[in-house]
Amino acid sequence: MVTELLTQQLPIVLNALFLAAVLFLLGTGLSIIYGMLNFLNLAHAAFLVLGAYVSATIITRIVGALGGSVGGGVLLVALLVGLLVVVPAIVSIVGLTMERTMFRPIYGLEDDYQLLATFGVILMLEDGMKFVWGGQPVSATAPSDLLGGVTLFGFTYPLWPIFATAVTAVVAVTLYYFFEETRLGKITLAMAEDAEIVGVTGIDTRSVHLKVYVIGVALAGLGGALYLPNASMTTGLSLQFVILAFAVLVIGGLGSLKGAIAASLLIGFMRAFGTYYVPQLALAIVFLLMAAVMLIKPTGLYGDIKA
Amino acid sequence: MSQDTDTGIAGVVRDGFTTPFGLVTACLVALALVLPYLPVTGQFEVFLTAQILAFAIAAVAFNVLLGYTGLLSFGHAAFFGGSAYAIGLVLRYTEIRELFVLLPIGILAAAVLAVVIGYISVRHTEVYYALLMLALSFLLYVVTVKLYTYTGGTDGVPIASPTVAGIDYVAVWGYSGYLQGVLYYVVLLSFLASIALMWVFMNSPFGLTLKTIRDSPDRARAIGIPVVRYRWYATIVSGIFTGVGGAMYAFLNGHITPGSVLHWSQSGELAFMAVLGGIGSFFGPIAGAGAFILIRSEAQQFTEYWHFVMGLILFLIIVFEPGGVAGITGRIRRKASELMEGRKRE
Repeated sequence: MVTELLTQQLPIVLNALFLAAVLFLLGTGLSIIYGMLNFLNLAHAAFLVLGAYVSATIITRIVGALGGSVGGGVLLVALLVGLLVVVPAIVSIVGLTMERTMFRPIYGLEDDYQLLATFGVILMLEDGMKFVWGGQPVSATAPSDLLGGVTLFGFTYPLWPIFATAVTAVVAVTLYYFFEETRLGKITLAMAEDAEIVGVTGIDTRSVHLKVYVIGVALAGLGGALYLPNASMTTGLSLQFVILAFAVLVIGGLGSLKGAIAASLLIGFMRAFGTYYVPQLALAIVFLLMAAVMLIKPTGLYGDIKA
Repeated sequence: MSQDTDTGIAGVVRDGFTTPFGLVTACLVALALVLPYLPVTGQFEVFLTAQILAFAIAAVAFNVLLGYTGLLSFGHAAFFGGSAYAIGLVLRYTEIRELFVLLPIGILAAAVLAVVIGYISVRHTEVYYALLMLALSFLLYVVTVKLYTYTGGTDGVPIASPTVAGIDYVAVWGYSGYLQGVLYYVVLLSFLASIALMWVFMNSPFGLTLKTIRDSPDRARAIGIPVVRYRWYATIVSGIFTGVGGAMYAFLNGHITPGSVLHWSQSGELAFMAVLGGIGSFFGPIAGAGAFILIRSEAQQFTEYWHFVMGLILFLIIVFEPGGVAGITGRIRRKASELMEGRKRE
C-alpha cells in the first residue's frame, strides 16, 4: 500500500523538483537583477527560451560531429560541457550586448516604463528567435537519452530531470555562498540597499552592476539548457515563462534568494500535482496562488526590502 | 487642449469650435460620418476604420488608467475579452440576437470583471498592480481555454450578426450593406459617445482627483482623498469603456477566440496603442490605435515578423519620444508657431 502510493507520487515529486529547478534559475536571475539593479526586465524569460534554442543547436552539432566516432561516455561529457558552459556563455554574450545597446537607456525610467519598453524587447526577441529557429517546436533529447533512466519501485524515470535538479541545487548553494561570503556578493547586497552610497565609497558600481547582470542572464540560459533535453520549446512558450518568472518573483518577494527557492518549489509542486490531479486548471493554480499571496502578504513570502 | 481647466461642457463645446483643434475635430467627425458613402471607400476601408474606432475606445480607456491615474495595467484583455465573450456566450446559449440587448450585457460583464479584478489589484501600485492585473486576466484566459465544453476552448465562439432594433439587416441588405449601413454607425456612435463621456469624466472633479493621485499619492491622501477607492473607481471606468471596445470588436469580427481577445498580448497591444499615441494626452491613444492598426496591416503584408516591428517601435518611442504621436505633433506645432512668430518679427 505504502509502496503503491510512493510509486504513484514519486514521479510527480520528481517532476515538481525539475520544474522548480528551472523556475528557480529563471526567477533568481530576474530577482537579483531587479533587487540589486532596480531594473525590471519583462524580457528576462526570453533568455531562458534563447538558452533552450541554443542548446538544441549545440546538441545537434555535437552529435553530428562526434556521433559515430566516439563512445557514449565521451559524447555525453561533450554534450554536458556544451550545455552547462557554452550555452550560458553564449546567452550571456547576447544579454551583455543587449544591456549595452538597449537596456542602458531605460535604467533611469520608472518601473512602468521599464515594463513597457521590455515588453517591446520581448516581442523583438520572440520574432528574432522565430526567424532563426523557425516557428516549429524544437527538441533535442540526446543528453537525456544517453543518460538513460533509473528504475525505482518498479517504474522507470529518466535521469536527466534528476541531474538537472542536482545541478540547480549546486547552483543555489553557490549563490548563497556568493552573497553571504564573497566580497562581490556583499557589495551587491549593499547596492540593493543604496547604490549611491556604495559608489561614494570608491567601488566601481558599474562593473558590479554588469557582473550581477551577467550572472542573472547566465542563470536563465542555464535554465534553458537544463530544460530542453526533457521537453520541447516553441517561441510561444516564452510568454508563459514570463508569467511564471514573475510569479516566482512576486510570490517569493522581490530580490530575495530564499524567496525565489521557496516560490519555485511551491509553484513546481502546485504545477506538477495540479497537472496530475486537475489537469484542467494546472496553469490557473499558479495565478490563484500568486493573487492569494499578494493579498495576504503583498511583499511576497520573504520580501521586505521594498514594499 | 488644456486638461487642467474645468469650464463645463457648454464652455468646452463653445471654445472647441473656435480653436484649430476644434475645427479639425469637427471635420474629422464629419468625414467619419460620411465615410461609407465616399466614392473611394469600399467594404475594406469601412471595416478597417471601424476596427480602428473599436480599438480606439479601448485605448483611450486604457489611458484613463495609465495617463491619468498612473496605473499600468497588463490585464485589460480581461475587460476587452470579457465583454466580447459575454456576448458570444449569450449568442451561443440563448435566442437573444438583439444588439441593444447584447451590448449592455457585454458592458455589464466588463464592469463586473473590473469591479472584482480592480478591487483586488488596487490594493497595490506600480509593478504589483500591473502583475496582479496580468495574473487575474490570465486566469480568465486559462479558464476560458480549459473549459472548452462551455466556451469552445481555443476554437472560440462565433458572433452571429445581431439584429438592430429588431431588424435583421444582414437578411435585408446583405453583409456589406449591414457593415456599411448599420454596424459602422453603431461603432462610430459608440466611439463618439464613449470618447465624449470619458472626456467629461476626465475633466470633472473626478478626473482631477485622479490626476492629483497620479502626481502625488501622498499629498492626495494628506488632503483627504481616499486614494485606494479612487484607483478602484478609475479601474472600473476604464474597464467599462474597454468593454465597449471589446463588444464592438466582437460584432465586427464575427468570431472571437481566447487568443485574439483574452490573451495578455491583447493588453500589451492596448498599452502599445496608448504609448504610441501619447499617454500624456487624452486624444493621443486614438491616433495610436489608428497607427497601430495601419502599421499592423501594412507590416503583415511585408513580413510575418510584424511583432518585431511593433516591439521595436514601442521600444524606440519609450526611449526617444515618451510623448508618442501627440508629443511629436505638439513639438511640430510649437516649432511651427515659433517660425510664424519669427516671420512676424521680420
